[in-house]
Amino acid sequence: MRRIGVFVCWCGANIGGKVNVPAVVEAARTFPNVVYAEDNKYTCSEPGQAAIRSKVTELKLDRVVVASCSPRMHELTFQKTVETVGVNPFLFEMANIREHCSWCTPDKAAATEKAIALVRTAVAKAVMNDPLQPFPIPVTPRALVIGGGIAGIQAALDVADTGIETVLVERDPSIGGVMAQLDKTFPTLDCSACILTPKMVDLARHPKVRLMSYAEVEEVKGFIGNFQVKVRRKARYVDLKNCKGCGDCAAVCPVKVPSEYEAGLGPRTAIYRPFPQAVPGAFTIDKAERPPCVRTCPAGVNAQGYVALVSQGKFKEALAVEKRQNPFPSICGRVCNHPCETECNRGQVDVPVSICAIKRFIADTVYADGSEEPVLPASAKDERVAVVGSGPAGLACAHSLALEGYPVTVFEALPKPGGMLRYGIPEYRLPKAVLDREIDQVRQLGVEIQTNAALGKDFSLTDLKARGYAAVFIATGAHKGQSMGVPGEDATGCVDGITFLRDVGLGKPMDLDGRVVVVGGGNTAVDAARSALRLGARDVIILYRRTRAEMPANSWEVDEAVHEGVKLHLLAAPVAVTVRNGRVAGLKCIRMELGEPDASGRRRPVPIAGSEFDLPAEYVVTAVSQSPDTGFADGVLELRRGGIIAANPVTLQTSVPGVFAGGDAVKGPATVVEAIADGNRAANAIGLYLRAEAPEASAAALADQPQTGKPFTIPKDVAKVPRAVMPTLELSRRRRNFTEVELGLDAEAAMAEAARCLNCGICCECRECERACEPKCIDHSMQDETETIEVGSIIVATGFKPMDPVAYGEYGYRRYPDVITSLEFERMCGASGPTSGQILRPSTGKPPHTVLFIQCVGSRDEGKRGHQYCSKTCCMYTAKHAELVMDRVPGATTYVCYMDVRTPGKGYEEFYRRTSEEYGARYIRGRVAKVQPNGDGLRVRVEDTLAGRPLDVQVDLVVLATAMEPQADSMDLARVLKVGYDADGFFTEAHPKLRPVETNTGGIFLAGTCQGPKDIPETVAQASAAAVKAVALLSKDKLLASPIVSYVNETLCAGDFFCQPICPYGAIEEKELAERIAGRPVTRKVASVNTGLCQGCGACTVACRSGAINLKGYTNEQLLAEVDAVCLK
Amino acid sequence: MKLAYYPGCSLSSTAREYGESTEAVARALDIELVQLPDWNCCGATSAHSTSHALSLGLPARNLAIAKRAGLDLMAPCAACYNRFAATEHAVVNDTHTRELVGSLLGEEYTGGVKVLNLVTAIAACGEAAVTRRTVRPLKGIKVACYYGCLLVRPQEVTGHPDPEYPEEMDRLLAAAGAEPVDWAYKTECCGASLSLSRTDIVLKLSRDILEAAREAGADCIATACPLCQTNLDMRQPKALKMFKLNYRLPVFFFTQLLGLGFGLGPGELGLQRHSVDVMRFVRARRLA
Repeated sequence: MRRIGVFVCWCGANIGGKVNVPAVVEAARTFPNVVYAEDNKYTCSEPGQAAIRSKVTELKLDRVVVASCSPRMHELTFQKTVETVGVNPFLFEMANIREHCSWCTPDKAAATEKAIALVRTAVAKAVMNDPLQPFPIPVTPRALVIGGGIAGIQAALDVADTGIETVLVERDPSIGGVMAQLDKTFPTLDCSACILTPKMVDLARHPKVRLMSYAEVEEVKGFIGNFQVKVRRKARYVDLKNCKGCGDCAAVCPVKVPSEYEAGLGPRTAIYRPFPQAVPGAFTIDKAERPPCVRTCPAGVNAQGYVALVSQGKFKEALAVEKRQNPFPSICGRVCNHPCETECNRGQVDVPVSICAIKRFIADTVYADGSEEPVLPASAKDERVAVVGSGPAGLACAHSLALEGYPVTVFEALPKPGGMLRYGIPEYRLPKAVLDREIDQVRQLGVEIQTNAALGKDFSLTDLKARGYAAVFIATGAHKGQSMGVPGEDATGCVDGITFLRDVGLGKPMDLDGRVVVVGGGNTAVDAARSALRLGARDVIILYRRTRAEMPANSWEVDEAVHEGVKLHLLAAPVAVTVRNGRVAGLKCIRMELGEPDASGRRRPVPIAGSEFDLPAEYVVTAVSQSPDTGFADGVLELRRGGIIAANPVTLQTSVPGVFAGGDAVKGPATVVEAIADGNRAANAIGLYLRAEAPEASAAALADQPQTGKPFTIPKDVAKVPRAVMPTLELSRRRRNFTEVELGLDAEAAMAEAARCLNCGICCECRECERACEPKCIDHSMQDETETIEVGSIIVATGFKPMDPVAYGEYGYRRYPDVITSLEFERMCGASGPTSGQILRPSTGKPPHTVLFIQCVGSRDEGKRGHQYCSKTCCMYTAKHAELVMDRVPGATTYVCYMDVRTPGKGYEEFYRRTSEEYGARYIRGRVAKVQPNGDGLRVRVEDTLAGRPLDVQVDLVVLATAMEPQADSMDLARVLKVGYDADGFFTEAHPKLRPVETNTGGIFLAGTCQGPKDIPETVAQASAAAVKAVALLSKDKLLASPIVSYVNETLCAGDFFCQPICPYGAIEEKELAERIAGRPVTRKVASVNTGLCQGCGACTVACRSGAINLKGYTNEQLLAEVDAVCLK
Repeated sequence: MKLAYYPGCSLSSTAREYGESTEAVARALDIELVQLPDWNCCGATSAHSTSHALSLGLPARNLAIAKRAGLDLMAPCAACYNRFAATEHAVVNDTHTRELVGSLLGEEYTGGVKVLNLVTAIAACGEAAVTRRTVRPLKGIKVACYYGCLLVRPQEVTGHPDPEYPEEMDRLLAAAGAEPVDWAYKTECCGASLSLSRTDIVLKLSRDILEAAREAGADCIATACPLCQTNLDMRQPKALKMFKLNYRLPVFFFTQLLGLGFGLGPGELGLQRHSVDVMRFVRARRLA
């Protein structure tokens, strides 16, 4: 038998006006276990509480029920009341007969009936209530502040000043936030920097503050008083301690991107400090993910690097960057198939950057003026390396090895070195002098080249070993032309393309009089066709079985061939060579059509029955395919189909240790740049092999390193600029000679072309900064680091971002240069800003005579484009901006288009009055419909809703007061912190009036605009309030946690853990239980509640099928008792 | 591509050349146009300024026919297009409209027909298809693409991503080799049907548009709306005279320009039907 007292509150007329209170009291007296019931005018008042206290003592009540308002309002009040007279607070129960009854039930009788039912329910539960004790938890005496704007700075300083350690995490390179971007602050017109920067310095110097800039919170675990926070410190690539902030690095950086600090109005370099007063003052390198040009290049040549340097006129530095991965820029600049250009992001704006032409320009220019800085080989090593084949793969390998100090000998079967570069690519594309120059550079590094020395004929692999070569690289290429497999191919006048081009390269005298038909669609075919034209052929036809779109040859080569007069005969294939007197007389061909795609993804050509035709010709060149000639490897090295050498794709090691192979001999016919890539890779692998490092380690060291980094987004407002046109030799001068066709760009064209680069990687890794930095604090290999810090409390101060007004198409932002945002205007006013504080029209660079401000851009807009809320600050800063215009531009007129002018704040209304009345800013009440260019300026169409007529206002500059928005990723952070957020993404406070800086998650507090739009004074006040809350928590040794937590009945727990994924706080853990069943020890897993994490939501109790998990204070039994009581009539 | 084709009243009358060039260009691009069987008036301005029920019921009947045919509905006239798009939107989003339309039609119509205008329909073929089909590129033609109000607005009905600065027509004509100009009057009002009741307003608005196009460096205008074309073409001499301006700016339907690029003849495109002569312009650029 319990002894329960029931106290029913009138709450003045709030309850008494609808509920017959005496009737409720009368009913309560009849409930089981109720020994006393009374009513009070205001139970929460002192007389009401005194009545409870006296009746508890007098009647020895062991439980108390108060029927009044919501427990959110007064549960704590009454719990304290009963505690003073010795009743455990959790034996108190509250019936809400106000919010749940009198306020929402119009009928008096019904309200009274409902109130009686609610009291009955509360009594039924009170009967089941058990005394509960809060339990103590320890506190880590350290605070974390997320965000280094004015809110974060203020909160961190306030906490640290009490002697509590504080960590401030800021994601940008510097603290300061948006306030650092402002010029003046309303209404006093204090200089923003003057009042902010001393605080920034204070923070950096504070002995109790640890500043983690350029860092982000990734994960938060734990609970009030005991959080574990994982922080990612982003790689700065600059040593924070040693950087003196001198700026020598930025002075040499060739990359310019829009400055975030200057709101995009001015540029910054890739290595940068956001603004001179930044804290910390160290520089930071901004790297995005590896740009597409570098990613696509088989050899990984740093195209963005040399292009950026060319844009700055740094040609010899560009050549050095180029040569890091490619020893043959002059050659590649002419013959590379440049996949980099295909992927170039500029192609999404207009046309890709002409990377290849720039590359050629660099090499030709620097070689011509002799300014190249020689790269010295490393100290000489003993192990000799043999390279077989002097094509691009062999020479690249020899070059790299020689730089590392290895003595290298190159063996070449043909009379001169160069492989396909010399004997496959005709002189009009690659002059022999150009080739010889770069081969000579390899020789100058000490590489010996032996010509007329063929593997398998003049020497064998065993010979090389016997001669003391410690490693061999085989790069013999693919020099065997394949036949078409049709009758008559052995007739005089029919030759394969490889042989034909080699004979041309060797300078064999040839006079082609008549028609030449070249069979095939690859680069060999096109080279053969254009060569044939130069050798006097009357008529050259390329016969190809698919369409032009499927031709594997470089499209620009095909274009040039057609331009020179080569005819394309598409969708036809040879059936036989017509032979007359042992000589070619023509080709018998058949027409084709395209069928289903084949393995290569190209549509398969299918002959059309009965469509044979004759194509008369004096010469036939077959350029259908080519393969490696690897007879020398028979029985020595493992071969694959088609005679290619089997080699590990990463280490290039063949079946014989110490013998490596690469290039076309391994890949089959491929490109020059792929061959160079293989040569470089082989040199690395051979180096590792010779240093006897473990092969697994070599594979890892040689594999491509994945590039991490933020993805690059193409800016929306890039102006279209035509691509540089490569000058070419006049058509009339190309006949009967092999003079080079492409003439190369001049310096002016190359620099202009380089300036089109979008700098997709941001930092181009030219490493000029590394050279310029005297304290040597730049390290391009730095990696992100994560660190876990333990804190007892978290203050979230992540701020806001200004809305991008581009969705408001009628204002023409980004379309018209003289339409800017208020933050851009703010930077324009800054004395250190891009215009040194002058207010200028972006289009002309001259001061505006008339400026119009549009308020509420994105605020107070119920449509889909904006936000419903008022951004609160815009009325005031717009008034400030209008004054600044009239102060700085003598005689200027300003208009402000507004919906309402809202000035609630100390001195705010006075400021607005001064702007409109003393300064004479013209306020027009109405929303702007359209901004259009008109003559030299802009015409703004707006309805003056006070005068009731439309107006056209001619202005020079339009400033949009854009809405304050939560950070784009605020909801992600909310999920990490497990705090609430509203539909817009602002974090929600625990109570809008009474707990404005707390969240519903214990120990996490809010400061500043991450909670909602507010101005600086309000932000600072809130920051200090949050600091006090945090200090109040952290200054305790121990916390008392609510005993309303879940607990597990281990006997019932089935160990299915359905409760685990349901728990939003991760409070359910696994526990192993050892017990004896039938005398035998067994173990089983059961759920266990981490009471520090549990917030008492009760979600787990619903998920538990066996009813093993229960919530203290709200057990299943208590709830069922309530249900029974409600249902009881 | 196969589409239900709704010519409406103007494509065989005041905008006959729009009808002719629409069909010619569709043929060239392999767009099969199936005239909507038994179609009725879209209601246009008259219905929605006099009877709310009719303004929804008339277009809904046509939509129901298209649904039965299982085809997307394409209306080249911007006003027709807008009525169909607005009705479709209302039927899909508003139960009351669905009921009203059901009672008017005597059958249920619950939406589900994709409504296209001619610009979006051709854009769906892809700019590449236009370029491929172009045999006489519209080189050097500086065209001001004029969309008017009904093709792109209201945004919730048309779903247009940027109703203040649409660009599809510009891209299509650029794909045919023309050089569309940047200008600010793409979606300004031409005065529409005030042409008859308040001609003075239309003359001023037309003058504004013609002047803006000229100032932007355009040497002709392209439209996709019979009423816009009429106001800019037929009213042009009077509009310019009233403001003491002395020039003529050819006003094409965009399909006529595309057709010229595709090598179609002036007769097929109805080029002889303009008030402001366009033939001199076309001949001077060797497009016919």
